Amino acid sequence: MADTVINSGVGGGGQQGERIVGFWGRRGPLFRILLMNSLLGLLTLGIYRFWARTRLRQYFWNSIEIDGDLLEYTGRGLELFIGFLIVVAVLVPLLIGYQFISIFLQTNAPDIFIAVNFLYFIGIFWLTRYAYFRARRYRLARTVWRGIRGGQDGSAAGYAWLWFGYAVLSVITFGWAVPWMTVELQKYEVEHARFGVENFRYDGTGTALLRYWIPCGVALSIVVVAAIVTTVVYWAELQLLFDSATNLGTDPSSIDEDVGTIFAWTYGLIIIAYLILIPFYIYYRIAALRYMISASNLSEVGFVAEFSGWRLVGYWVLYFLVVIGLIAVVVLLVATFGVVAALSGVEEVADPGLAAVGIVLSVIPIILLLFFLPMINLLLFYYPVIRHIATTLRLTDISSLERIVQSSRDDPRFGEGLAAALDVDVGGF
Amino acid sequence: MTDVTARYFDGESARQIDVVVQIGPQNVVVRDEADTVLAVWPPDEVRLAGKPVEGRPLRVGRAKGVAQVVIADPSCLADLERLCPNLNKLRPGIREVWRPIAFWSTVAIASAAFLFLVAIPFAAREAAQAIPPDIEARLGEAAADQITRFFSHTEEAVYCSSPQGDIALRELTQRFVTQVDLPYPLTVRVIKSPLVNAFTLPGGQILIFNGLLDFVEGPEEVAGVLAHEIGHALRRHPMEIFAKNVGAATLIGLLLGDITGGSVIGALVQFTVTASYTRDAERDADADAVDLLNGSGIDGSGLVEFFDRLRAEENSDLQDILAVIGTHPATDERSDFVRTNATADGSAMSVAHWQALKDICGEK
Repeated sequence: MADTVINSGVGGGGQQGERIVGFWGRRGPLFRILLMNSLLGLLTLGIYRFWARTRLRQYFWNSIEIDGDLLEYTGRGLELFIGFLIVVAVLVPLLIGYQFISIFLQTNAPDIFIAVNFLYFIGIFWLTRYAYFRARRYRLARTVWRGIRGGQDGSAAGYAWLWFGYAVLSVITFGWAVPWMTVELQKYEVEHARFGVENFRYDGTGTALLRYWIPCGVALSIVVVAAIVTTVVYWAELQLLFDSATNLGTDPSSIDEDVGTIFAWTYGLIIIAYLILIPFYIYYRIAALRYMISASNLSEVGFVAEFSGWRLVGYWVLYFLVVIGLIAVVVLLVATFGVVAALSGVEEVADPGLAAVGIVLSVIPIILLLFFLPMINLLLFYYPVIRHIATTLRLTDISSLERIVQSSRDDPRFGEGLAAALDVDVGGF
Repeated sequence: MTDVTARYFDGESARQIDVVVQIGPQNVVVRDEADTVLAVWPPDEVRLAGKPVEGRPLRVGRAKGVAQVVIADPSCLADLERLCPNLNKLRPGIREVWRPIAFWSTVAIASAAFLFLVAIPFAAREAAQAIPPDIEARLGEAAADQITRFFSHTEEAVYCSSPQGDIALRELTQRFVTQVDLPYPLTVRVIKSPLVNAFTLPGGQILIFNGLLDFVEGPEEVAGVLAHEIGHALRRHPMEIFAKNVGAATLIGLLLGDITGGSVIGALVQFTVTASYTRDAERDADADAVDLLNGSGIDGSGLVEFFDRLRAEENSDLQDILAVIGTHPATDERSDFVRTNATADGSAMSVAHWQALKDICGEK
């Protein structure tokens, strides 16, 4: 862990590399920052969130040490705020404008409306990938190590189109293009990222990642084929079901009971298969992360990811159980006080005072939960995950970094407005 | 004057240079082992490059650029704090700041104001007219269900009903409905609540609070209120408010971001701001009410009296009254309009029916 950090700057522990990444964060100070951020966020109706995010990043960057030197985050809340203002000024009117058009089309041209709506949702997905790439550019440009800035070249639109093409291909192939999609996107991200003038390199192939996808891919194919077969075979019955669900005119009893049973079974099985997919998918995501780190190089520096996938899953399960537990407690409290409110509101003994108290008491636990959930997410999930991944990372031949010089390329002036507006998650903060 | 050994990164390359840093009142001077001066920083421009981490070297840089010295022994922090007034300030990321802030703030505020004041109300009006009546009716039923569930679990516990009272209400409603072409069938119900209020949900769901039946002094007043609410339903005002709420909530959610930050508060604010009809909408509904009253031969002075009494109660501290004033502001203008334009002088219902309607929630 952190105390095993070698402070010499001499690299080259053979192929295996050395664990020279330290993590100096502590939960206490982090909690204080999170608490302050949330309180100021409430007081400022959320406007503080740009400065809050900046403080949080400063803390995490300031906690990660590579070969004896800590990272520095040079971004500022103001930059994020201006980026957000630009989005409000430009993007929001566009989104509302779309609502106008869709209302107009809905009445005048329903067919076109469906097509436009479809394009709109694709457009939103495209925009989130675009925003994600832009956010990477800002973050890397504000990351300094040993007086040298990081950077992200490449085009956000190019990245978003790459994503779009592979997304279509993945749908057509029932998911079997996913490993190639992962690798191509990682390649674009990594090869366009740089430290100073030195670009990162990426040696990975979809074929190598394929074996981690097989469990998920097989399960997904079964689900998709089963769904298609059921839909095709029982097309007529399905339409009947759909009609009875949407039009009150159709008599539901006209549907054959056996068909209903078949539907229940097939779709029930599909849902179960889908739930089985989730652990397979997590297994794949972890493998993909390990693969990306190990396939990347910077100058002669190689990276070897040695984090334990089980440990990451363990952190997630713990976090998940805590959240479920808290939600259960809140539901219980709300139900109790809510009943008090309902009873005193309606019965002959109508007592508005008691009803108001009941309503207030049943709302408080919900507000507290919403207030503390993001903190729990960071403290119980992101914090240990980042710590574990960082401290188990091995680097080979770090001494070659001495030759790297600063890039004179212009940095983005304002930050990630689009990513903030679209709530694009780039690692939790 | 303090001398400390350190490692220096010049911000040009990642190479580290072993240096001696001299911390003095005039300047902070960085010298290499051959005594060559590498950097001279005025004290007011010296900044910490990242908060000090316990047990880790101290990092110090200049306000501009990313060059830094890494000082292994952090005990010189006291000296630095004494000599460098801006030590704990952030290193600026961008140079020029105020012009873009001023420009984009103005554009953003103008854009948001345009959306709130012009675009959303206009879009809501268009949407309310465009939505098929059967969808709106289903929406209204869902909203009524919500209200039922809020008060209790069964409709019987929330809505009042008695054989004679129902007939009285139905006959009164029928006298109005036959005159107009409503996009959906009306559902008029009395809700068991002491509040003096009446409102219309999307899809023609009209709710009259029992407290209003206690507050009024004759059936013509109820008829006036009902005609007014039918006016709202006819012009699909409730749907317009619903659409406006959806638009405003989306926009506020986008502006305020995090749920912990502002969305909860934002939702409350937008609810109170947009839950009432506009002055124009009230005027239109009043005009419809007068037409309906005239058409069915019912005396419009009932509505005038209702307005006048509401206004008289405005100064009273009764919470119940405030509720109805909040959603239906009574003004002189509105009374005058009804007084001048109402022409009929007939009664709304028989004395027996009126008694039955007043007692629809049980005799008092």
